[in-house]
Amino acid sequence: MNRMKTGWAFVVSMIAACAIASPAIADDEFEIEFETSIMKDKDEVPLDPNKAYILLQTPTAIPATFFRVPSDAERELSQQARAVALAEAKEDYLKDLARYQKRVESSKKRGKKVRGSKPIEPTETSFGWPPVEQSLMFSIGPFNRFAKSKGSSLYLQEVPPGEYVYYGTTSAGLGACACMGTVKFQAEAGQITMLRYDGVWLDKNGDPISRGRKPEGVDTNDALVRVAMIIEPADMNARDARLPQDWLVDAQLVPVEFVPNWFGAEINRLAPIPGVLAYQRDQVIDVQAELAAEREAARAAEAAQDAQTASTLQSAQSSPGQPGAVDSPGEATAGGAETVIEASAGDSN
Amino acid sequence: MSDEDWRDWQPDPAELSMPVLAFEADEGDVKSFKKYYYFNRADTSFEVALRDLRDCDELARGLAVGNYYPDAGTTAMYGIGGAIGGVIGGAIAQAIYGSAEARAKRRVNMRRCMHFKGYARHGLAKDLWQEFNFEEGNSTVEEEDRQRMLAVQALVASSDAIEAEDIGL
Repeated sequence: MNRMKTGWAFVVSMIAACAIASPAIADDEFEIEFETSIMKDKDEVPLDPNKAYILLQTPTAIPATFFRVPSDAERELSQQARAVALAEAKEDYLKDLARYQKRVESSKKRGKKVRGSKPIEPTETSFGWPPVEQSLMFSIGPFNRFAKSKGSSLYLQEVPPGEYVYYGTTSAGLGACACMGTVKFQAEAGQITMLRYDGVWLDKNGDPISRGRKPEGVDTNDALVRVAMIIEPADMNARDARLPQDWLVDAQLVPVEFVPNWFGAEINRLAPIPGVLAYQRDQVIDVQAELAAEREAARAAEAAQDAQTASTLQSAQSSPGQPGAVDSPGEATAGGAETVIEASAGDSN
Repeated sequence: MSDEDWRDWQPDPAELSMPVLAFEADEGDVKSFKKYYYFNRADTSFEVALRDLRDCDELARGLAVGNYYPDAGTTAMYGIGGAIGGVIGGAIAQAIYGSAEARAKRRVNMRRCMHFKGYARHGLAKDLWQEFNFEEGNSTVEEEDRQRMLAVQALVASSDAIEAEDIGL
């Protein structure tokens, strides 16, 4: 196994290269532990029942980036770390400013230009801080395939159990994020959660053309705009014989309407997923949630109709001779009572 | 005004001038439509068009994080509830090796984002395009200049009956 660990130490080294008002250090007490491991292509596959596994199938060796949804505690920790770093940056700023002011005075006396630029005050709004998700993010592939066959590459990653979001394929601002429509799924301990990652060429209307070769007769720049990522169920080739088959489960995909473009990458979105993800313009539609809402509305309408019927029959029963009541009082009582019982049973369902 | 103030600036469309959009396209113009274009959507108000353009502009710049940490919990945070190497890999290759990568990326992002929002795209001659658009490479465009141009783009995007061909995503 290849272990990969991310935490604030890593984050800080990333942002050290960034410009204005970035924190210089972070304390260990704020470190977020998050470790994933690449499961290599070996005969024996040591699996830990306390860990979760993501089995990603791709058509060829391509990378995909995921992050674990942070807990409220982790987000709070990140904000605490930011507050500490901001306080330190403010102290540093005051020292830097004092030094700068001395240089200004000295330059004035000597009639020379001031060396260096005036320090910029770090403020609550200007102080940059990496998103907590960055320390919970990892890419799978393109190297270290667990298995490969024609049209199917497999990557197996050991991860802490939790909820994972497909973020895109990005590295340091290159690649693309599925910022405008993606999915998340639960990776449970003692399970291997399978999903497939692919891509598709689109026409100028945004409709899929093919997953194969670049469409002919289309300008290359246009063609590279007209692509969408696909997340879908893995096919049978993902069921590698070395893996315990009863651990294998399909990822239960849930739409995510937006994730920030943290790295300034290309923005994109997933192609619609039948039964899971649809779009109305740029609005993400959770298909299952919509179906559930429709079922609920139908149930409510049916219950209302039943109640209405019961009420009508009841009033007919109490007012024989009114329009809608049957001729024979005796029959009306029997029939009405029967219908009311049916309606009540329907209500309770 | 601060950059943030400019991003919230609500211009009066009556005080903006509609740029020239009519031209006779030659072969060179058509080849360059991948770079020079404007958006338009029927039945769209100026305010909505400006909001959409700003959405896409901020997302393309990596600024659109505003509503990512609402007070609600995790669920709300993430919303509601053979050659594929050619497709995804190709897009990455372009990002790494393409000339003027940052400028190309902005064009890609605006095209995708505005297409997702249902806007048609119409080609424009470069000189006309430059009157109310900007390229963004490694140096950034001043916020005031950016917002003034986005406002004119919104005027165009919300204008009536564009007869030019929709060249799509």
